[in-house]
Amino acid sequence: MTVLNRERNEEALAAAGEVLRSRSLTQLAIARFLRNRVAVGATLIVAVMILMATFAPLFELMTGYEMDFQDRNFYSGKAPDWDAKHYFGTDQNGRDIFVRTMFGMRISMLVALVAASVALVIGVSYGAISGLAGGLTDTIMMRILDLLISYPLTLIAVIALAYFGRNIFIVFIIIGLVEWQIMARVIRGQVISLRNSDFIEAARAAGVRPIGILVRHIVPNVTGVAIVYMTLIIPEVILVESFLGYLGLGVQEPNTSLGVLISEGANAIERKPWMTYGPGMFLVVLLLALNFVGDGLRDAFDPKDR
Amino acid sequence: MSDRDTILSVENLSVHFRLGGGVFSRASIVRAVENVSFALQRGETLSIVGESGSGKSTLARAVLRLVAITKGSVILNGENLAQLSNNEVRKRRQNMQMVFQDPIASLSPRRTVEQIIAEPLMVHQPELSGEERSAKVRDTMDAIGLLPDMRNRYPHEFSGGQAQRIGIARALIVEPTLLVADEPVSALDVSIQAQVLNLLSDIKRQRSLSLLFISHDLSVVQHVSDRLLVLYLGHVMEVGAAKDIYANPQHPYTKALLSAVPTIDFSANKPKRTRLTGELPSPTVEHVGCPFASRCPMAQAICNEQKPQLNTVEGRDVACHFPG
Repeated sequence: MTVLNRERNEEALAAAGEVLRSRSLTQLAIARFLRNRVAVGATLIVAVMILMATFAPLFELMTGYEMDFQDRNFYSGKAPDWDAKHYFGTDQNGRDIFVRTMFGMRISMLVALVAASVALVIGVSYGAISGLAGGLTDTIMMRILDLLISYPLTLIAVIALAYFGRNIFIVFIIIGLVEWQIMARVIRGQVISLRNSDFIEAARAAGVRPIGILVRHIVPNVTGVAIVYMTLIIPEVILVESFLGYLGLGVQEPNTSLGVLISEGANAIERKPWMTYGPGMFLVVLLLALNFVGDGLRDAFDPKDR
Repeated sequence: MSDRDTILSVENLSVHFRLGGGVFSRASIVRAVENVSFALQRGETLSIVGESGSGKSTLARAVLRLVAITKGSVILNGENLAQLSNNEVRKRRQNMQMVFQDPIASLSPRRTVEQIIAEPLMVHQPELSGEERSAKVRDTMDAIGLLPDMRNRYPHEFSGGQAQRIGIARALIVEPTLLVADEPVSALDVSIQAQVLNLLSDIKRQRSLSLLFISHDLSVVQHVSDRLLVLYLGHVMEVGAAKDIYANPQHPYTKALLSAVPTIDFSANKPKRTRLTGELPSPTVEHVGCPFASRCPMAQAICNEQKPQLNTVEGRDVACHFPG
């Protein structure tokens, strides 16, 4: 008869412990994300597009960005021609649209990064302060937010751009300034539910300082949600920039963005319809892929789906 | 017992909450705890019982000053917590720790067991080195019956009973003199309840800890309590030695509570249950008379007019005009 003793139990548990590595919530979320094939595929697409935008000058070497002065139809632009390596055709100035699209993506992605970061910083601080303060402060901050949400923000962006001039970084920051509100709402809700949770009270009962509670207990539990909403804000930011570019308020020549390229194509759509195809396709694929990545992250971080 | 062994003394404690009260509406006041006094000796277990909404948890939190005290005093080791600043209370928390009702929700989901258990140490003994802290965590885990290789795991990997052991380890690592346990076993399976209760009473004996035990489960309370305090709408109904109260309750509310405990007794002379009718009245009303009068089977005219004071009846204190 086998006698189970404490020592042998502990040996067995120690051996099992080496095999069964413990996994944190973040590791579990990553594992869940990797199981989501659509999200993983979308992540790969976004990664490829980021690489293409990063190495845009290489495409310039490959296809020739310079204007083709020998061509008699120089000003009319050319339809897509794979033999001439003009994959998306050329525009009315004879510039290769594929290369222009790669350079346009650079600006669109830069906008996404800068504006979404601005939105993240403002949204998280505003939401966290509002949620933690509670009471009258919370009420006033939320009513101000309601007021801002009820304004057409693109209009504010247009007015601000007309006032401050069309510097590219002003464009980025203004877009960030108009896109933070939903982030603030979401973070405030999270902070309020965390503030009333048992483990925060346990930390208070243990004697942790308020700043320690914020840093060690609230921030780590909010980051997941903040990252998810940031990926959902990015497509919106790209879209707003494209809209501003379409109105002629975005970046200035010779810089370009996906929105500016589509706008140029739209102006010539009767005679040179191909000018919108390439940039339009890239914009749609980029936005869709980013949305799928955001959805995948949201599902992965959802604690209800463990 | 001599007075020197009194760890905690609560005098005329009241906790009121303001409810609502905006620009257009008047605030109503919830009287969660009203004029409660009791004392707790070293190594003693006092259980606070009452139905949902009776103010048990609020009383526990007020003793630890986790909610603001409206009136009265809470004297722990000779100091009145009600008069200290928040920061000074924070420093005293080494002496008073708490175990929570929902074991898993009371553990931060993104921290490892070691980080959770070590947190009170980081606050109250910051001079310890990382190694000393780890050693203390390991010792405490061992005393509570947790295996050392659980250190680097996360709360979601544990069952309720194990999670509650982690919560108890966190409370005990700073060696408090007072432990407040707010329904520590009500979220656990019955078989696990017994384990956790035995653990608590072992620890209490070994460390001569004073335990304030909150529960609505009278069969659980019977096993752990030295003394019992029955709370109804924030008022003390009956307080005294647990044995006496279980054997012979004097307050009609205590009688009704005890008769509601399920028993396995098929004999013909099984005591009849006293059924209470009606709901718990709103805690926003200030009572002129006895708060229990609206549901009391023995209520008379005087019960609605005059609030009964605590009187010594059969060796314990009872707040009733017609005890017995």
